[in-house]
Formats: sequence, structure tokens, C-alpha cells
Amino acid sequence: MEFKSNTPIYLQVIEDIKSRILSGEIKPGDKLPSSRELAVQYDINPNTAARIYSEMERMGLSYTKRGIGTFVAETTDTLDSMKEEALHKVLSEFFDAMKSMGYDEASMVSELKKFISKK
Amino acid sequence: MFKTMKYELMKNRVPIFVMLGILAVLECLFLYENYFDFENVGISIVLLILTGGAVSFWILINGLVMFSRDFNNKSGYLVYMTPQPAVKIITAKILTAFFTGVAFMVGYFLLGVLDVQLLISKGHQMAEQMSGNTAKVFESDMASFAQFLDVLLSEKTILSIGKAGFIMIVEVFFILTVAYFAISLSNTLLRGHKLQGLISFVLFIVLCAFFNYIANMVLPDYDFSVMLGEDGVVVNSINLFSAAGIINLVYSVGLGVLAMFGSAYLIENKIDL
Amino acid sequence: MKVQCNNLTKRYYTKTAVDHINLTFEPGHIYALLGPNGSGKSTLMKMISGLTTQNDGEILFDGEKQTWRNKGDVAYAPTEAFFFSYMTIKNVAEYYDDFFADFDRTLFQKLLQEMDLREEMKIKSLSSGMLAKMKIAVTLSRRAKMILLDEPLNGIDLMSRDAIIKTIIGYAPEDGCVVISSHMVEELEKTVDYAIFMREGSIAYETDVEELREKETKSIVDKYREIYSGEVA
Repeated sequence: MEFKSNTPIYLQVIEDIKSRILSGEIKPGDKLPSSRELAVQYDINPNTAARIYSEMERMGLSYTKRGIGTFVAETTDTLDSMKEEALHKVLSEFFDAMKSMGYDEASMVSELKKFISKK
Repeated sequence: MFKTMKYELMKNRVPIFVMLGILAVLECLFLYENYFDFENVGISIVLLILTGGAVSFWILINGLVMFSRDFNNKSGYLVYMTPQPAVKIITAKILTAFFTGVAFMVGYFLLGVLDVQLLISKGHQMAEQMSGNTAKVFESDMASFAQFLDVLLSEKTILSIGKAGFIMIVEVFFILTVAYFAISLSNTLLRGHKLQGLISFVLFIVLCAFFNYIANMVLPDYDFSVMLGEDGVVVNSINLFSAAGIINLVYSVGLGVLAMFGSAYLIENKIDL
Repeated sequence: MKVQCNNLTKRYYTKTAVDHINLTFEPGHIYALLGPNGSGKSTLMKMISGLTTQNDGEILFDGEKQTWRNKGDVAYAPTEAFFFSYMTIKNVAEYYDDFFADFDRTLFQKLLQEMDLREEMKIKSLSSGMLAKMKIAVTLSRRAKMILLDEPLNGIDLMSRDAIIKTIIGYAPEDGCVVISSHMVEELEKTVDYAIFMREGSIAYETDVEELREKETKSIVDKYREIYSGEVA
């Protein structure tokens, strides 16, 4: 994975794991690699990897079974809110881009419908 | 410390085996000539003597080269990173060069005695086959050879040689340690200089001259020489274990030990490995 | 093991290589020691590894003053080839086995395998990349409390660099410190969690790397440029 080196690595990895959860590559309840394995997987510092899990746990994305490992949270509401967050991000980017090109709200909707019907 | 000595030997095993191999070949040549080509036996004797001397010299010089090489090719890191104080590491290096040299010289001496004995017994056989005056001359040559060997191996001479050997061993130790110190000293300031080897050598000569000068000024006279007397080899000196003798020996050994600590100090404090 | 340098100073005759440095290395962290050539990185490492003695100041290992025994706690990999010329990789392993109580032969064999090296290879005939990997393998196989790697990525190919960084990340001791010196900063960006910038024998700046990104939105490279701008790296 390519990192931006001027923003915290732990946040970038969390974003990546989130998107893998959303895409279904990682499923709720799945066991995540140990923090050392995570470090090797992403080529990052082991302390940063450990921090990733503690932050994810704080955010409700994962939980730790002591002595067994870290697992992806199974509660659907965190998954739902993640989805919602991602949806919002995509839509707002679309909205801003269209607006800057001069489309009004009605034509945005009609252009989107036209696009979908062609797919 | 013994482990360091082991690796010092390992580093040198190839050249050491090569030299021992050359000596073995020469010894075989001697044996062959002694039994089958007696007229030419002189050739192998001369070769054996020259090569033996060269090897003894090489062993000591090589001890210095190895020490100096640690600084030049960075293997010094591997040597000095081991968990021991630097002075122990230096002691191990010096003792390895020293013991290899001494062991070789003792072995070489014993081989020489054996060879002379073989030579004499073959000589007697040869004389029996000769006739007239030639046989007489030859026989008397062999007899004086044998007499020389007897004297050489007499208790008195062995004791004398032992004493001389002891003094020589102390001097070798002194020379090695002072040379180490000279090399260390030249590495503190002139690391990588073109003439560093020469400068080490000059420093070594200066240090030796200086220590000798001090010894002459301060220490009691200590006359020492080896000569061939009527009853064989005699160490002609004030008794080795007289006060003067002991003071002189202590001076050499003491300076040697100081030089080792000095080298260790330079390595730990002044030399950028 | 915690290693502290207090007021550490080293002079070689007229040149001051390290000038009153104060630093603390905490276990479990990977440190980058950065700075142009001649800024004192190697001298600092040689003092910690007990190869050279400071003129001033002290080094504490878990609060105790450094002695020659601490050479047994420090695994130092110099930037140069430092093995005896006759050695094979196996000979090096035997040497480490003989001298260092913390050397783990099994781990060493594992690392050799991961790095495509074989015990019977002669050190003299290794490529620079292979030699660099070999140095990392033998140094990390000492389960040392303090691991010092001097310019481990210098002058080697990309694949070897990747292999070395993967090995460091995978095998850095949890209860020990790893210090990596480099003047190639980018390579260490993701690997280290703490960066120390040296200049002319002093500490120019030190920072937690994630904190630097979080608070200043700067990478180590950005900070490096800021500190040494106008200087030749």
C-alpha cells in the first residue's frame, strides 16, 4: 500500500482496513492478524501497528479477546455507520464536482438517472 | 580470551599449513638425500636452515601484520565487539603470535637434533664402505659432529640454551608488545596514511632505542652473550637469576605489559576503528 | 533495556565528533538516527557498543554505568564489511555462537532462508546486497537488548532494501531498542517510530514520527529538509 508520508500512518491503515471491511474482503467477526503480522503486511512500524488496533477498538471497529487476538466488530451499527460515512463522502464529492461545473440540483438528478439507465 | 586466540589461529591456518608443508617437503628431501644421495645432502640442510629461520621470522611479523590489518580492513569491529575488555583481546593476539612462534622454534630445534643424528649414523655407514685415508678423514668428521651433538645435548648445555632461550623469549615478548604499541600509536594519528607502515616501524625503533637507553642509564649492568666454549655452548653472563638479571627481566616484562595496556587504552580511547 | 546518554562527548584530537549529547532509548521502539555524513552518528553508535570510550559524560544501561560487559547487550552492525576474509556464512554463525550468549542459531537459519542466503556461501563472494542482508541476519539473531544498525541500506539494490526492512519490522525485539542510522531518509519513513536528527555532533531535533505527522502534517523527509536546508546531505 502506498502511504502519504505526511499524515499519520495509523489513520491511513485504519482507513484501508475500513474499506476492506466495507468491500466485504474482511467480514465482521473475522480474526485480524497479530499486530506484528499487521506491521509486516503493511511494512510499518510494530508500535504503529499496535496503535492501529487500540484506535480501532476505541472506535468500536474491533475488539480483543485476551490471549486469542483481535477481531472485527460484529455489531451491525458500526458497519452501518461506516457505510453511511462512506456514502456521504462519495455523494458530497459528486455534488461538489457537479456544482462546480454549473449543474443545478434538478439536472444533477436527471444526469445521474441517465447514467444509471445506460449502465 | 581463549576463543579470541582460537580465531587468531584460524585466520592464519592457511599460511601456517603452507609453511609447515614446505618444511615437510624439505625434510623429505633431506631424508631422501641422506639415504640415497649423500653427496648432495648439504643442499637440503642449507634449505632447511634458511627456511626454518624465515618461518620463525614470518610468524612474528605476521602477528604484527594481523594486528595492523584489524584497523585497515574493519575486521577490528568483529574482534573488539566481543564482550571482553580490549586489553584481554590484545593479550590474546600477542600470546597467539608468541606461542605459535615459540612452539615452532622448539619443534624446529628438536627436528634439527633428530636430523643431525640421522646424518651421523648414515655417515658412519658410509665411512665403513670407504677405504684408506678418505675413510679416516670422513670418520673423524663424523666423530666431531657426534661430539658436538653430545655436548649440545649435555645437561649443562641444555641448561645454558634453556637460559638463553628464556631470555630470548622475554625479548620476543618485549619486541612484540612494543611493536603493537607502535602500530596502535601510528593508527591514532596517521590512519590510512601512505607511509603508515614505515612510520610504525620508525616509531618501534625509536621506542626500543629509548627503552634501551633508559635501561642502560638506570638498570645494573647485565652482560649477556652466548659462546662456544671448550665444553660446548656456554651462556656467558652474570647468573641469569642474580639480582641484576632479574631486574632486567622484570624491566622487559613490565614494559611489555605496560605496552599492552597502552595499546588497549589507545584502541578504546583514541583509535576510530 | 533502557539506554541513556548523558552529556556524551567524544573528541578525536582536535575534532569533536559527538558534542554533549543527551538521549534516551526506550525498549520496544525503532529509532532513526539521521544526519549528513560526519554528523556523529557512527561515533555515537561506537560509544554505545563499547568500541570507543567517551571523553565526557556517561552511558547508562538500565540506570547502571556502562562497562565492557555491556558489549554483550549490544548488537552492532557497522556499515563496512567487518568479517574475516576466510569466513563463510557458517563461520560467522560459529563466531557469534562462540562469543555471544544471546545468539540464536535457529533464528539465524530462519533469517538466512528468508533472505535467500546459504551457510556455505563465502563472505568474500557475496554481492553488496547479500552482504547487507547477511549483516542484518546475524545482528538480529542476537536477541540483544540494544541493536545498532549503521547505514544498513547504503549502496544496495531495491529488493535487498525491502528484504532488510521487512526483516527489521518482523524481528525487532519487543523488549529491546533498534537504532538505524541513515542518510537515506525516505526508506525509513514507515519503519521507525522515533526520529533523531544529528548535526555536527549535536542533536538538532528529535520527535515521535506519528506525532510529527499529526501535529505538523510533516513527514520525516519534510522535517529533514527543514532542518538541513542549505546544507549538503
